[in-house]
Amino acid sequence: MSFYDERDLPAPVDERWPGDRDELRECIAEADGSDPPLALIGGGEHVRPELLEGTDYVAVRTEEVDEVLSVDGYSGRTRVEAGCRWGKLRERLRGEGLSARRFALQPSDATIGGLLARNQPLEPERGEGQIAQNCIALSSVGPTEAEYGYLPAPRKASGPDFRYVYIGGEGALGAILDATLVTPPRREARLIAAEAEGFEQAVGVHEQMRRLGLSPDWSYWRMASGRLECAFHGPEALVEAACEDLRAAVDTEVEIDGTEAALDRRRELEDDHPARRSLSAADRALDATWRRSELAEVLAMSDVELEDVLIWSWARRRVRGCVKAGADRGSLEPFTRAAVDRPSGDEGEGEAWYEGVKQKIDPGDVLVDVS
Amino acid sequence: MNEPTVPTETEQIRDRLGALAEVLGEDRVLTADPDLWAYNNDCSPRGIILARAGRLDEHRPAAVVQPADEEQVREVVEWARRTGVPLVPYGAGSGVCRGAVPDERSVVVDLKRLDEVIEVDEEAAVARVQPGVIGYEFERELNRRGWTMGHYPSSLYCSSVGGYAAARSAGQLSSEYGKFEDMILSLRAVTGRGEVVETAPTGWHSSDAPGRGPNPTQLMVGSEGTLGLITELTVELDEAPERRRYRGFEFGDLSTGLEAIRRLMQSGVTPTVVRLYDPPDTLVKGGDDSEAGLMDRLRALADDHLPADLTDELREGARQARNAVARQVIGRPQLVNRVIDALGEASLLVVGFEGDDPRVEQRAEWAFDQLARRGVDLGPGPGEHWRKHRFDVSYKQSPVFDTGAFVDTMEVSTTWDRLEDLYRAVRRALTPHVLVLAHFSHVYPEGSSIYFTFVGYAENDEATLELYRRVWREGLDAVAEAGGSITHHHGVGDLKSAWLEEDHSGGTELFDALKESLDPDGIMNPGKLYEGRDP
Repeated sequence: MSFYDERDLPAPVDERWPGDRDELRECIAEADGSDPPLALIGGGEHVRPELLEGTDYVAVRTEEVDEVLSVDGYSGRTRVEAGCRWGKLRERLRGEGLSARRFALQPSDATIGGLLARNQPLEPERGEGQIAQNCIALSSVGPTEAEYGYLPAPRKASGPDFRYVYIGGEGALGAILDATLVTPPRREARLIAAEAEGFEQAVGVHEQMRRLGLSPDWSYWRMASGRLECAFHGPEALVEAACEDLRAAVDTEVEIDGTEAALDRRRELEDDHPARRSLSAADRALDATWRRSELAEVLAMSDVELEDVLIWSWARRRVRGCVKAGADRGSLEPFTRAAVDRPSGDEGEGEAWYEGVKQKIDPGDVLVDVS
Repeated sequence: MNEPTVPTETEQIRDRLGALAEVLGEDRVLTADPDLWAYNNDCSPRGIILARAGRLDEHRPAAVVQPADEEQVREVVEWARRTGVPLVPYGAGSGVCRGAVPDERSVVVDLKRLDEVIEVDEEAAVARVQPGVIGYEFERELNRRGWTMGHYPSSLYCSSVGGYAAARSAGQLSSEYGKFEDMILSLRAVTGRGEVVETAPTGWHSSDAPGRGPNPTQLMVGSEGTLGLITELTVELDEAPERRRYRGFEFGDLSTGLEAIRRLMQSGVTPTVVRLYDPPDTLVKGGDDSEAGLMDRLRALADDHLPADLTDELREGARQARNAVARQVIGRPQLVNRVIDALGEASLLVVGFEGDDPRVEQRAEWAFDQLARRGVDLGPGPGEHWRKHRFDVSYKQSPVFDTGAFVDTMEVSTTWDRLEDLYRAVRRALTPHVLVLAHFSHVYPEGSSIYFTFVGYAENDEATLELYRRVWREGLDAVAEAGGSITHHHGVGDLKSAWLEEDHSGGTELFDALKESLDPDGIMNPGKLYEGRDP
């Protein structure tokens, strides 16, 4: 099965393989529009198949643009090329004594550029741990050789935040060349595993944590295993106290493990992350985001035979995860309807502002158009 | 025979206001001088200097209009498109970078009548609010229901929610809650095309199907009215805190204090408030954030020695004498800065934890213990003092201007590895011209902002304006050279335009593309952001 088949993507008419950010820049800046449009493809996870359906396109594969450009342990920031895979970055941080604790679980083989460029039709929610929420700088290039750089300084009030032309932009307005992420020093960690047979139980444990003032760095629930796993990082005395308080507060069995176990478990979960395009393209699976209450309702009401439900991102009010049907994907319709980022099909139109900007930035239609 | 007089641009604009009066009502189209003077400046110090010099007409708009709802805002924009008259949005007027400053060829759009808290959705923990709602009123309404936005700028009583979005505001609790751009989920705006855009990408807050393309929320936020007029905002809420723990610490020098807060911010324990004052600020203001702290102290010294039964005439004489002394002090910045530098190296830290959960005390105790290893624990006093005075700043500038001096602030930011270099570079640039104090008050795991306060004096108005321009030019040149961001939370207006590309290299082309798409006639707040000039 080809890379494209695995990801449910139509095959391109040609491929480009830049080797570093300079070659990626040239690839975009020097395209003159005489070829079919360019589609930026990292791990393939940000690309919506319907975007490329029926389109002749040239794939710009960024997987070799994958250097960790600099690691600044003092400021706790790391700059990577856009094609750097999450798993590579995570292991580098581990080696450097830094931490990915501010990020939700990500697929190991997803590229940083792809995770940023992926269009997520959702308002951000505090504490969700999206890559974009911890990206403090990026540089990019547009098809008219226009380069853009966002200064790596915390926050700014200097006008519109042009990073968001590229974040969520699916490569339609330019290519992200590199990004700088917040990666603070590693602290003590605890891995907690609690029994949670159903989604309601998993929600109950999270509610209990919220009442106790505990915010896990990541949290993962799998219906098939009946377990909720989460990790806390921080000063040893505080994470120890947090674990003991949680153990006392919940009425299920709680297992607690140390720092290395927490890091190892993160690696395992991310290596097998269900959001990997090659898995989620499977016919019987649906990746989506739901309000907690609405997912609970659908799960309670549904008579669909489910193979599994996996939730890998737990924000305050909503969860992100994957539902796998026992039979066909059509049976997942109630879950699709309940999702807050439900697929729009053909009903959504390109925003007027986007059309105007696209015309100005990419007059030659060098890059694929998301509308 | 008299020559026929050619109508001025202002008169030509006023001739066309009838159409707006029909839509908004006669009493919502203001052209009387006192009304126009009230809108000829925001809180920018340059405008205050001009007003003090009696130059009230310098930025007097042709008119002020006061729409009541989104449809009226749209009608105003349609009118502006037809007539080509530029619009300048105006919220509460608390900006300090001239983002809302008009000229005689423009019409001010006062958005304060859009002042409704539309909805507080307690299940989703979000609120929909119109832009003209004053921050304090909004927060009071949320608190009444047990919620908070967590956004407490020092201008809370005199600033509007729309202004927070327009200029990327930060509140005093930003270390925990983030800046306003972290709180806003989506917005509605009338663009320069006269079209309403809603940036909510899902059916969560909108019944529309999601549009394609990147989410433009963060492109509208910070645009300072140059792309459109915000008519509604959806913001994220938090439970209002029930527990508070504040403490003060004194460090032997600034470097030690900075190292202590860097370690704290990277420990995984996030305070709600962190404010580290540099030695001059510690010495002069002692944790009082009011820019007028120095003046207050000079005044207090004089007032302490005045008999209580003075006549008004003698009291006025004393006031003038006091101001003369203040001018003498401020007018010798190099000497004053040197004296203050020589008087002490200690840095004061105010740190606070707030929340509604039982771990607030635990986190606070751990942090206090860590901080006490590098500094002297001063107990809760400095924190309580700061909390008591934290909103004074926006109301206490006038005593400084009253002396004939001026005061302004420059808020910049950078990563930890460059922070002290940036601090020194800006001080080096400013101290020859003005008295300089600084504190580090919006602190993140990766770096911090630096909030410089500077006070200056020159012999006359022209010299004062030239000094003011020079301070900004040399200050922001130093910021750019040291690799810092030119503004952390005050915005740009036309004051910092010349340095915008330092924060966003290549930003001009992207701004032009956005501008052409959303405001093809160039009627939305021209001359601001990338279109501005020298300060």
